[in-house]
This record gives sequence, C-alpha cells and structure tokens, in this order.
Amino acid sequence: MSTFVLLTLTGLALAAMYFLLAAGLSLIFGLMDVLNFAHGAFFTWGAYSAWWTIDQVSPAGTGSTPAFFLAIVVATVVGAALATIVEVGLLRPLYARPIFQVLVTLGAGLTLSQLTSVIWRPDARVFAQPNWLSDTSTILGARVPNNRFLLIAAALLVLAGMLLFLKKTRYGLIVRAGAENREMVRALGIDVDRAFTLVFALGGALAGLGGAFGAAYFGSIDPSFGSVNLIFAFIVVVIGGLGSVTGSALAAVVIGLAQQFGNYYTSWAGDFVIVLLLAAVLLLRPGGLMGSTR
Amino acid sequence: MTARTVSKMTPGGLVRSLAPVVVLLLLLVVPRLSIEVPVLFNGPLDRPGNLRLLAVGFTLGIAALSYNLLFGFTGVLSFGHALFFGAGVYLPAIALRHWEWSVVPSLLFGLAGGTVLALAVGALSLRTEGVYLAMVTLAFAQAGAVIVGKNVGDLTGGEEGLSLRTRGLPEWMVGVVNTDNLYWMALVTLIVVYLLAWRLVTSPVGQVWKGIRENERRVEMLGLRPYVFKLLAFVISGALATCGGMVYLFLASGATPRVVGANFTVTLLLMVIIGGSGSLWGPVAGAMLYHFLDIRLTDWAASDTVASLPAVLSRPLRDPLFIFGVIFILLVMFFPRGIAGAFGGRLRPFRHVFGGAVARPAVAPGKTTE
Amino acid sequence: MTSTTIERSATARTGTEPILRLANVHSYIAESHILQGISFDVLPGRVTVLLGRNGAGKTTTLRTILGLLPAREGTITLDGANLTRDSVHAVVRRGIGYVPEDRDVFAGLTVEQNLRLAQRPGATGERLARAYDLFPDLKKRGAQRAGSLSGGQQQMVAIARALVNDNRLLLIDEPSKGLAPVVVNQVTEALVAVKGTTTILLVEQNLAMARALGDDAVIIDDGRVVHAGSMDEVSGDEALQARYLGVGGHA
Repeated sequence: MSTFVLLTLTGLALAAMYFLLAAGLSLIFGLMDVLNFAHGAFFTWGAYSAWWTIDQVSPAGTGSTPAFFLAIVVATVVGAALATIVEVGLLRPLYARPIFQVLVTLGAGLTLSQLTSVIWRPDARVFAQPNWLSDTSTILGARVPNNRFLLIAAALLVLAGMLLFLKKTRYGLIVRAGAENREMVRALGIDVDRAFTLVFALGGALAGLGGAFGAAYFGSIDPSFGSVNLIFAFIVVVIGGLGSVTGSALAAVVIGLAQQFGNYYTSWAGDFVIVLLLAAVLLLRPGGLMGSTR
Repeated sequence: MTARTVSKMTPGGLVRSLAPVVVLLLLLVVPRLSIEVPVLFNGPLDRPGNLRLLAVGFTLGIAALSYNLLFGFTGVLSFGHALFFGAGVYLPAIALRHWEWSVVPSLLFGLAGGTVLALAVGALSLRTEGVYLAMVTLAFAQAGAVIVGKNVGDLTGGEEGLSLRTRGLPEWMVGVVNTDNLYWMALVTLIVVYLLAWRLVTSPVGQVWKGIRENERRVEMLGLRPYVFKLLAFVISGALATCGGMVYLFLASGATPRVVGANFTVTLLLMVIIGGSGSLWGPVAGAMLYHFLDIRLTDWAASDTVASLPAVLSRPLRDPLFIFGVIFILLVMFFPRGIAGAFGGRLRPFRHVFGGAVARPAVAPGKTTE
Repeated sequence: MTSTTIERSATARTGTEPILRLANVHSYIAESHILQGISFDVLPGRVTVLLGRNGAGKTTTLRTILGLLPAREGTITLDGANLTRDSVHAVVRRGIGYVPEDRDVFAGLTVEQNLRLAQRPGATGERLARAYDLFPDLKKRGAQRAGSLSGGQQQMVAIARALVNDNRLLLIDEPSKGLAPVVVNQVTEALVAVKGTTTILLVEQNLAMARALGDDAVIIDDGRVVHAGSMDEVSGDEALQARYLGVGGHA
C-alpha cells in the first residue's frame, strides 16, 4: 500500500513537471504551428537560474526559504525572457518557412543548453533547497518528499490560471481563435504577431518555472536536463492533443503515472510503455485525446 | 546558347567536371601519403589517427547522405534516423560478441535487422505527417535509446557500451596497423552508397520523391500512393544508414549509446544543413566538416593558445556543440542551402543532375515590397 | 438618370470621391497570376457588387484588398490613403469589416466571444446591441458555441462580426453560398437593413440577391475588369450575363 501511494504521488509530481513543460509547447503549437525544440532549453535555464539564485543568496550548500521562492521568480522571468528573444529574433524572420522554424528552434535549443555548460561547466550541480522541501511527510505509510506536493500544487494553480486566461481574457480568446484560424484573426484587425510573442513568452515562463521545480524534484541538474524531459513533454503534448491545455494535463498524468509504475518494476519498462502508448494514440486517435479535428 | 553548354567547352568547365574525380583519387591514396598537413592534421596524413578521423567522417557522411534522401529529397522530417545507424553498430556487435558469429553473417544480420526496423518504424510513423511524424519518430528513437542505455536483455552493455570482439574477425580488419584497410572499406562503402543514391534520385522513383516534397497532393492526383514512396525512401535511407553504422563499428572498435539517441539525429540534421540539403554531396561534405571540427576543436580547445585567452572566449571555444549550435542557427537563418548551395554554381557535373533539387525558398506571405 | 449611370466609367466617376480605389492591381496565388491589373472604385454609401464566373478572381480581389494576399503591382487606397503595403491588421483597422466566403466563425468560441473578439478599440456596446437586433436568432444563442450553429446562423455571426465596429467599408463574400432559400431571404433582409448606413463591396453569384442589394456592378473575368456600370444595367442585359456570368444562355 505504501509503495502504491508513494508511486502515485511521485508519478503525479512528475506529471506536474511534464505539464508545466507541455502546456506551453501545446499552446505554441496550437497557435503558431511551431514545434518548439528550444523549450527544453528554457527548462534547463529555469533550473540553472534557480540554482544560481539560491547559490548567490544562501550560504554555500544550503537553501533558505526566501532564496527558494526568489529562485522560482527568477527562473520564471528568465524563461520568459529567453523565449521572447528566440521568438522575436529567430522565429519571426522565418514565418514563411515552417521547416526552417523547427530547425532554428533546434539550433536555439542546442545553443542555449550548451551555454549553461559553457558558463557553469558540464558537471551536474546539486540543487540546494530548504529542508522543509526535501523532508518527507508520511501519508498512508508512504514517506513522500514535500517538494512533490509543492510541484503538484503549482501545476494545479497553473492549470487553473491558464484555463481562466483562455476563457476569460481577450488575449486568451485571441489565442484560441488563432489556433483555429490565424488568418481570420488577422482579418479582424488583430496583430497576431503580438499574440505569438505573448504565447511564446508565457510558454517560456512556464518552462522556466517547471525547470526550477524539476530541479527540486530531481535534486540535481546538468545541461541535458531540459532535453531529456522535453522528449516526454512532446509525448504528453501529442497524446493530449496539440493545442489543448486540458488534454496536456490529462496526458501528463497518464505519462507520469505510467512512467513511475513501469520503472518501479524494471528500470526501462515505464519509458517503453510510454512510447507504446504514444504509438497507440497516434494510430487510433491521430488528433490526440482532446485534439480537435484540425 | 545556355550557360551550361558554354562552360562545357571552356577549359574551366573541364576542370570543374574533373574536380570530383581528382578529389576521389586523392582520397583513395591518402593512406599512402606521408605528407605533413600542419594545423589541420596531427603528424603525417597516413598516421592511423588521421586515417581514422577521415574514415569516421566517411561513415557519418553515409549517415547524413542517407538521411538527406528522406529529408532533402522527399521532404520527410524524421527524428528517428539514428536508430538505423545505431542498429548497424549494435546488431553486428551483439552477434559478434554474444553469439560469436563470424563477420559476414553478423553484417548480414545487421543489414537485415536495420532494414526490418526501418520498415516497421516507417510503416507506423508514415501514417502521420509533418510535426506528428517528427514526434513519433523522436519517440521511437527515444525507445531505442532506452533499450540500449538501460541494457535490456543484457545485450547492449548499457551506458558502458559494447566493445568489438576481434577474435572472430579476419586479420586485415584488426589492429591499428590495419587502419588503412578500414579507411578503404569506409571510402568504398561511401562511394557505393553515393552511386546507389545517385541512381535512385535520378530514377523515376526519385522524381516521385521530389514531387512529394513539392506537393504531395499533386502526386496523389497522378494516381500514385505517396505513402508507398515515402516508405520506400524511409526503408532505403534506413538501410543505407545501417551500412554506415556497420563500418563505424569497426572504426570505433565498439558500440556506445551515443549513436542511437535523438541527439545523434539532430547531429545528422546539423551535418545536412551545414552541407546543404539540396544535393547528394553536400551532406557528405557537411558530415566530414562537422566531424573534423568536432575532433579538431576539442584538441585545439585543450591547447595552450586557447587556455591563455580570457574566459569569455576560451570557455565557449572549449564547447564544440555550443559553436555548432551557433553555426547551425546562422546557417538556417542566412544560408539555408549550406555549402552545396554556395558552390552549386561551380560544380557542374553535380548541378545539372541535382539542379532541380536545390531547395527553393518559399514565397513570403503577407505584403512584400518586391 | 439612366444615361448618367451608363456613362460611368470604372476608374473615374464624377461627383463624389471613392471610398475604395483599386488601380492596376496584380496579385498571385503561389505562382499563378490571378489578378491581372484590376481597377475599379467603390463609392460611398453604395453597394458595389463584384460579379464574375467561378475562378474569375472575385475572392482574390477581396483578399488582396485586405492584404491577405500581397498586391505585387498597383495600388489600393481607402479614403485616399495607400494601404497596398500595410499588414492585414493595419488595413482592417482603417475601418474594414470582412465577411469571408466560408464564414470562418471560430467554432470553439461562443457567439458572444466571436463578436467581442471582433470589437476593435473604440467599438461601442451600442453597435454590438444593434448587431444583435439585426439577427434576433443570435441574441438568445450568445453563450452557445459557434461551431454548434447551423450554416445560416454561422453566416449571421460572420455578418454581425463585421457590424460591431464603426467601419468605413464592408467586404462581403458570397453570403448566400450554401444556404437554404429561406435563410438567403433572411440574410438578404438583414443586409438590406444595413445598406445605406455603410459602404459595401459584395461578391455574390446569386443574381436575385445581387439585384436586391446592388447599386453598382463590376464584372471581372480572368482577373480583369470587363464591365463596370449600374446593377440595373447588368440585370437588364442578358447578353452580358450570358457572356460573363454563365447564366441565361448556358446555366
């Protein structure tokens, strides 16, 4: 029983992290038709900027509570800033050439990820977090680290916030309408390019946030941190249906749980099951679980 | 009178036509050339280290060339190509080590395995299109990387990799002294693969591939099934990549998980973009250049010259991948046709074969000031 | 009266300044040369009907005016201001409402959200209310997803979307397309009610609707203007209709 509870909660925390990464990817693809390979780098940068902030503010090797929350803010801002730079500087000139957009996000992802290695060297870094976060709470006999709960809570907040944004705000409407028919949104006199930048920045912010929490979850970071998780986020996005935030949330839960439970039995079964799931979804429901019939 | 007929008659045109032949002959005799090429190569050209550097470049060239049949010529963006190169490396390595097969059956097993794998992955993935295809193939590549990296079935040696079992190999393939033989093996494989690819892209099948790249719907309207032709491209390019992987196995004296992951496919894409996706020889040149820089930059970064530079310069220089990332972005933004695009007008024999295949930039939507 | 209307030429009409003027406009779809030098004026307060066979370039003309397709040659002016090189949203913000051929309502948004999205800065609640008044059917469906509406209702949303702003000009592309006759009548009535309050450039194949709404008519064929005059004149000229509209002689 305690193993089941532990695996479930850890799986949900993993799902929360994937969701933070996937939600932005999904929105970006929904609106702009861009498969953003740079997203993993925003995640890596979120993790590194969080680590760096804590390293600057707290005495070596410890993480104070204020430092941790400051780190989360810094990670979010850094993610948003990098995303804005990539969108405006690299993607915008290439809107007429979709394949090259994918390629340039690949290049940006590679360059930005390697930049962390250039600045902070390639070795893994231990992520110092406040004790109350790495301590465990006992639930139904399972000892679960507290950062799992924080991660899940953060993802739920983000999910609620995004749904409100999409349903209630004008920019949310623009994003949803743009995902359906970009040209018609333009023909209503709306500057869709600004919406592109906004969505990219928002996605970058969420990836940065996810990177900071991901660092707390795994306890250490290295330059390949983002690219490893990006692949799973892609799978989440496809299974959930490109452009659907709710779909991403559902798919993230499926993937997070499948991975945790699978890998508990053998070290590779979880990862393998996920790929099979992806293949099955694509063959049976090519639009994803919550996908529209685009 | 067209430009081409003019150039054929001038001596300059003749030189350009002969250039590839000269390059080829030069490459064939490199293992017997005891010349020093300062800066570019360490020691005489025929030193085993230099021969291996070039030969590994050839095998990567095969992988990039085969990848470009799919990407550049058919317009299919797959992220799973490393799987097939990796199959070429791992399958014979496993047969040689664990089952103690001899070389020929091991290689045949590798080729068959790689081809079947390409058929299976292609048949499934090609039911989707565009970004979906990119992601599905990415996922398959990831599955492959997991199988290899986690040492499923105790066959692959996990992260450690699998060293080549030399006991069953013929003498001429074993040991540093025989690097020249491996060099020729790699070069001949490259030439054979190149000719095969050339034959394919100039055949009616190649025309259909180009048709699919330009406009799949039109191909459909001609009564052809794009799926079948894309699958053919997928399987052939996969099988050719497997060949490259098999040669690589002997040069690297073993298999490491590096050659299966999605990152390796990204590297292939990088080579193709550096070289230019519009031609056959471009990706080979791109792969050679990539590998050369990869190795030489790493050596160079360790040198005193770099160490004496301020950290702002020396640190990025120590990270070839960072430099490649920057180069990649610049190429995509400003020189999307790569090396081959830059020289496309010069190398005549290639241009009149592949002239039509050079990627045309799309017309920008929205208001332009042309 | 009739003699003056007949004498009107396509490009230079006496009296009032045109709201919209196209002068020698060329545009392409991919490499196909679709508009091959289109010139005509749209006069204020009037409904100009753009007529022509399928593929003549009517929709392309509207899309080129909006900037959805670039005009490679020629100039397009609205109230004398050149908008040939402006981006789509800048063109529209000068005061153009667009009702596209396939309605293109946002299926995942509610009726209300569709209309609110169309409101540009300065749009008033009063105009929104008037748009609803024009289509009582929509009023009670404000919270319904536009994708769940019938074709006719979607067309009403598309038209209402163009009416929520104080526009100088409406571009309306085949509002009758694919609709049942009863619904066509409803839509025609609504447009008749709008007529006179604003200037309209209408693409319409349905001659009855064109007659009911049109003041002026411009006929294009193979990407060129072949006739410009009054709608009455075109209505009465069966030879003209047979030649350029594919009606009458060979339907």
